[in-house]
Amino acid sequence: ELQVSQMVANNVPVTSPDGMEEHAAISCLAFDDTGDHIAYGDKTGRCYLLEKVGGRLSSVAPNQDGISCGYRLIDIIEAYQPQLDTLNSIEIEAKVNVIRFVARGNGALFFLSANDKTVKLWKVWERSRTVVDGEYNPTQALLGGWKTLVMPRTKQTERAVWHREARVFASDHEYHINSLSVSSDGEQFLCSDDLAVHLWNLHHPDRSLKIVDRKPEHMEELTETITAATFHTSDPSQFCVASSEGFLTVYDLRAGLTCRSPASVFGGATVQAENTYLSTVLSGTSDLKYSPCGTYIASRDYLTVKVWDCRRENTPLRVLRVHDALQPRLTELYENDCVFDRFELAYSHSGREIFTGSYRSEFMQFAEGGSSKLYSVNEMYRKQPPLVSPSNTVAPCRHETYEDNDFRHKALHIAAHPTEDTVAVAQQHELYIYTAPTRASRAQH
Amino acid sequence: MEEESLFPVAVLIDELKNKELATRLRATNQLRVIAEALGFERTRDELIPFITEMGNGWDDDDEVLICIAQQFKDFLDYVGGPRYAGTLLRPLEQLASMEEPTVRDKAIEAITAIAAQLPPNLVQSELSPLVKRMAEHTWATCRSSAAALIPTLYKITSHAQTRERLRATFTNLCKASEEPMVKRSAATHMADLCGVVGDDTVLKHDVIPYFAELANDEQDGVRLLVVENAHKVASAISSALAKQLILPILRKASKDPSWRVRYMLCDKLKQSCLAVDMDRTEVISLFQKLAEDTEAEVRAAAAMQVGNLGAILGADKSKVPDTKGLIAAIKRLSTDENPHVRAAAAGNIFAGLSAVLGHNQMVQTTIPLLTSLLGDQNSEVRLNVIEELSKISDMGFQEVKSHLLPAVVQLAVDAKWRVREAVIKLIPALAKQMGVDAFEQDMSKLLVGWLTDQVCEVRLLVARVLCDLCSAFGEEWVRGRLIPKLNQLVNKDNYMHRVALLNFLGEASLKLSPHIVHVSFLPILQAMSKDRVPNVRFNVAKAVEKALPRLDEKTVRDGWKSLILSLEDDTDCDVRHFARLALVKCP
Amino acid sequence: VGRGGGVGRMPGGTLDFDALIEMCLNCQFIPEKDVIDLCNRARMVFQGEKNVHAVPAPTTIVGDIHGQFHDLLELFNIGGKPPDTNYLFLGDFVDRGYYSVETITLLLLYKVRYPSRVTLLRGNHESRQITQVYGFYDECMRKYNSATVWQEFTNTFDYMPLTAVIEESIFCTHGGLSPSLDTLDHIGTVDRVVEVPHEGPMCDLMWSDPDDDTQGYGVSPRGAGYVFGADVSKKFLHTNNLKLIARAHQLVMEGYKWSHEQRVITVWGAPNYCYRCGNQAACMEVDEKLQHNLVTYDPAPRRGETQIACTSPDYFL
Repeated sequence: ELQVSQMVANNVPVTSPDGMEEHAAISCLAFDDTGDHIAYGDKTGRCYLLEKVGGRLSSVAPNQDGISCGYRLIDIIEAYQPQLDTLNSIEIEAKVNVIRFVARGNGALFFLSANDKTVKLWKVWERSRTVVDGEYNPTQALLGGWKTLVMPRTKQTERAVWHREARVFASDHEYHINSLSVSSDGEQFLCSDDLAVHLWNLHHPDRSLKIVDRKPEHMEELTETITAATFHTSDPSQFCVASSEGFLTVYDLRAGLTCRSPASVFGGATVQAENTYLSTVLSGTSDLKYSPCGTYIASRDYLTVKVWDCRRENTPLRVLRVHDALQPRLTELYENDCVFDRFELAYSHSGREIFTGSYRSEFMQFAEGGSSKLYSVNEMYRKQPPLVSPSNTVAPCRHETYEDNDFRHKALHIAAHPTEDTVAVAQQHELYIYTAPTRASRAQH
Repeated sequence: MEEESLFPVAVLIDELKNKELATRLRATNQLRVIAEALGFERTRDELIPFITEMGNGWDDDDEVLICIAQQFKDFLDYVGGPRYAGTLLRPLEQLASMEEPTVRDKAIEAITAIAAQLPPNLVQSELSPLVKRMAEHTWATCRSSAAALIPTLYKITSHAQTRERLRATFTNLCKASEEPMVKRSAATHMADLCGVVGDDTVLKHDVIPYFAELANDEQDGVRLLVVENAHKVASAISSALAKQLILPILRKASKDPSWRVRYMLCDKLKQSCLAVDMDRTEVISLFQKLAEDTEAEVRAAAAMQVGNLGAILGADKSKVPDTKGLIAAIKRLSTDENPHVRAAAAGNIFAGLSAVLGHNQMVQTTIPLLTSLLGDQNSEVRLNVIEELSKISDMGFQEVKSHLLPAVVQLAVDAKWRVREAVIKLIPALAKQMGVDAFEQDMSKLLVGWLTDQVCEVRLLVARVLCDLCSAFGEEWVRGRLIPKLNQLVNKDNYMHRVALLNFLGEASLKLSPHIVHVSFLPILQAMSKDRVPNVRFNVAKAVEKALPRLDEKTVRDGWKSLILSLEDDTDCDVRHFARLALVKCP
Repeated sequence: VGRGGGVGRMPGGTLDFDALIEMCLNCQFIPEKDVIDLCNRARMVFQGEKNVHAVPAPTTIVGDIHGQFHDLLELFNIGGKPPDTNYLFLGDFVDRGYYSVETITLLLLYKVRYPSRVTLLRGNHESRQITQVYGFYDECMRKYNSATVWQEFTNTFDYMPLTAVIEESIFCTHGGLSPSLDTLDHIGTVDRVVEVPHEGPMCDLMWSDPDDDTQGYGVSPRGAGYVFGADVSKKFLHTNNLKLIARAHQLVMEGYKWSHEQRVITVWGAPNYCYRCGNQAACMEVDEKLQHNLVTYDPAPRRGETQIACTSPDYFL
């Protein structure tokens, strides 16, 4: 049982398309490998870094929000500005599409960010600066002859958090970037767009290798796009690519320079809907994650989460029904573009639970044993524990109808702490942190 | 010192903290000048702390940090000698822990340089603790730098117990549980350690097994570096030990599931085979295996090694056990489905085959291979094989060339102009071998045709090649054979072709006798000076400008002067300009 | 190095164009104050040219370069360098590619050194507004660290002629025709020394496109200029007793494209446009008898491309 332990609001003002003043929505989020840090990005191109109170950097950051436990905002980075794609004369949005931490063996924190076209590596660290104390004037420095050729006086500033754009990776992407994933050895990362996956070495920002290329010779033959890609949790040579048709393709980097033949393929369109365009949209995978042990892959499509055993390609091990209550309203959801929402999913640190978001500011927790639980960031919607169905599919029970307004409250982005029972969920411009109460109380002592 | 001479120093100090990176770099590069002005003591007490502290404050600009490390490398003389090495080692230790590999490398280089000059007591009190701190640090960057520094320290330490401890520290960094970054550094510096350990027994039991452990690492990024450095390790130890311990690592690499490891094996094939003194039969079967790899990159790397086969297999061709297998592998690479592989094979084929084949066999084998490569659909393959042909002219394979002539002639009209360019570069050597008559029969028409090539660079090259031929075939050939052909170009439709002719006349008049220039070229130039197109007329002036310095006054009066004067009166300003330049050269 | 001189200066301080051209061909920047002098000289040269600049044959017509300097050098490899070969450039020298500064500097140097061998027409990218969005302004700031160079170049753009006619036969302009300009005399009356306007005859010349499916003038999807039909081209050529319209402005994959029953030719000078379009480039050589020859060319080989393997091994080390 998780409880809200903290809410962080992003209060950067933006003007919505209908002219309303609102706060910039959070567009991605991630935990680092210790769980002490959360980074999130927003629509305006900013990246925010939160640190658990008592962490290595928060002692030096000014505590403006007065928080004494939980996570504190320690740095804001203006990572992207809107830019012009000069070939196509289209604006490239500043919006941060994805953030991933890079584990590094020295004091600083590193994370990657990507907007539609450009990947950047950020270094955040803490230090005090030495600055020249007062003015240093070469002429005056010499007034008394060479013995008094003085060195400038220096002084230390207070320790503070600094950040630096450590690398900008050359924009090689023809289409919009949708995911980033760092290999488990921390040397390489992959970056996927609609039709290709590029492999980068973190130390070579000038070129990447297009390891998967799904661009057909004639664009009219295009039937499938890449929607997400991720490295295996422990094997740096294995990665999985998800598609708009619901296929998950596992590749082995060791097999060749470019990945022409996959190691295995799972899934495919399984969603039956009355019209075919809907079934295509519904089967598209919006996110995929390897389980912490690396044996399973969980994939999220519009209505379900499917869990696959990497060794069994034919059928999913489990199908977790997230949005059954939406079935009757699919046509309407198609019309208001909601079916294109890309919900993320997260494995808990133990691998026993899977979390994924929903509408009405809700998110689901599916446990290994088959039970599931619905959380709402808005207590008004708090529901009774759902029923457990006898088969291997779990259907949470939600009888009530959805209001139109509910579809505006999307909990798209979700991430889980790597070692504790803590989940971070973004809903519009707000970030909610859920923690198991036992942990939370223990942490206070 | 004078105040005046110190002012620039004060400016330099000021610039050390300048906002502009370029200014800071320039000032940092001249640290010695500041140090000289300050003297030893103040350099130690004020300058170095200032640099170190300011260095932290400069937003860690890698270029500045690299520059500081480079300066500190040779800075002992400025701080008062090796006694004060500690002043430099402390900031360098910090630099060796940075996340940027190039900064770390430069810092390690500097520490290594300083270490070589340290008296034993300072090795004890400064360097040893530094290495220990780094090897035990929680940051992987530090441990990775430690792996690089241990061989240096080992070399200058004679104490057996300390040495044993250092070996243990190093081999700890090779263990599977270490971070990949550290293991990679250990794999890279293993050869250095082996070089300083020296003792076979110690190596066999205490050191090399850890290299073998790295070779079994689950990260292919680590195994890759093992294969890259295997030949260095093998060269640092006795050949018996290399054969016993390193050869199995190479054998295993040839079966590695990761193509990157197999690629590296190919890339270092020559050094590795020589360093472990691999048996010829095994070399050939290994090469055959790599030439049939599933990954094109590996095959391309194997194709690049074709040229090294001679060096690997040794000079005595009679001792090559499986000539047939080797030829088959080379043939396979030169007909590979991947053009990069074929291109690599095309550029190495002669060196490779001549390593194992006798003269006659060589001719028989290469002609069909080269003919097919000359007709390859990929222009890079064609280019490489043409360049290969230019190499063999000195190797005494005339018959190969004459067999290939038809194929070469076909490429004379290749659609890619860079291929035509490469073919034309072959012409002078070819012509010398063929002799005047054969050349006239087969090639000369082509050559004049190239003077009207669509591409300007080709026309310019042909002009230079024709000049070479003029020297080779003599003036009789020029007068009798060449000039009549050139005369046909005077009225070519395209003005650029007429310009090309004039360009040749200008170049040739630098090389031919004044007599032939006067008798044969002047009439052409006079005719062309009345051309409708100004570009042709000012190229007449340019050609005349080149010819004039070689003509005597009497000859110049006989037609040349009046030609220039008529151009100087031209309606076009560019013609007048170039005519004036020529007029200056009139004797 | 003479008094008041420096590299690229003659004794006495005047620009040594031959030396500057040599520098530029070797991809070296010329100093800021030389750029200022060069632009002053270029404005004087352009001022002496009419809106409809008369160009003698033979000449080679070249389309958009867009800062692809190495491909411009490849063009010179193929077609020959000025002054031996005459050139007529149809504009859009700057923006998009990474070497706009080098490109415009070299072309202006050639123009000033050999005014009767090289013709430069103005394209829609030779504009203050457009260059601030599409890269040239940023490149000037990056390479010269001040806006002066950009100001000098864009002030010079204002003086460039809009159109040219080769031997009273081939009409050349960057974009196309304008509904408000029926005759060459009309074009001659436009007051051209201004920033490219958003509409009107001058804008149309630089922005319009031919379209085989249009009759008369239609709305352009570009938001400036018009699309014009075959009937418009036919009438314009007939009225002015001309044979052909040569223009650039549109990317064509084969490097050139005929339209309007061979009355309009589009040539494109930037191979592998923006380093990723995979297109060929072409120029049109017009000889002294007004016969034309279309020469297509590939991008200049990039450094490292001749390497054997597809990737350099250090990528994965």
